[in-house]
Amino acid sequence: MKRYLVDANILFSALYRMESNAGALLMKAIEGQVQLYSTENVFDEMKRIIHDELGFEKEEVDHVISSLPVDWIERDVYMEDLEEALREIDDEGDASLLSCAHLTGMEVITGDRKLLGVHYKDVKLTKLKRAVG
Amino acid sequence: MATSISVEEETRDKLMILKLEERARSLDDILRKLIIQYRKDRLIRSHQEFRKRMDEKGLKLEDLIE
Repeated sequence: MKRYLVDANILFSALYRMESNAGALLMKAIEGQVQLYSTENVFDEMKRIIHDELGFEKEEVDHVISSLPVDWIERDVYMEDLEEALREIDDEGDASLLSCAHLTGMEVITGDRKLLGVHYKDVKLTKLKRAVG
Repeated sequence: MATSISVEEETRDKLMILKLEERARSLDDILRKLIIQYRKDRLIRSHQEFRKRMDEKGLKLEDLIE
């Protein structure tokens, strides 16, 4: 089964519009056709935005996040590479995905043009459309 | 690896009926389908709540991901 790392923008896109390519990707994950992962940094970023920008209570935030078919990778797994990735891109969430992708060999799916333009070690960055097929 | 779970007789009977209705190969198959449907429904509820809150706040997707 194909495994991918997903950026926060993919997950927010799915939550915003389920009939989008991002929504289709999440449905594929629930059906077991692909396996989705993301990082603890992305997890924290999403929790903060859902709480601060949308005003969800803590329990509601947890409910939304836990409904996503995503396994979250702890910082310990990619911490050793994070500082180097941060020299390449100044966003912690994006850098965490680069480090995690480098260390695990997974592709990153993102809609972020800035991130898509980064060349970091052996990391492969993929546009959403290509992953959904 | 198969293992056993304990359920009430009534639950087992309902699962058996579902298995026949859905022409599932086994109870395991029908339970997998139910889990998938439950997870999809839960995700859709999250989406509805998320979208409702975005609309109430007058926010667009770009406001969150930029």
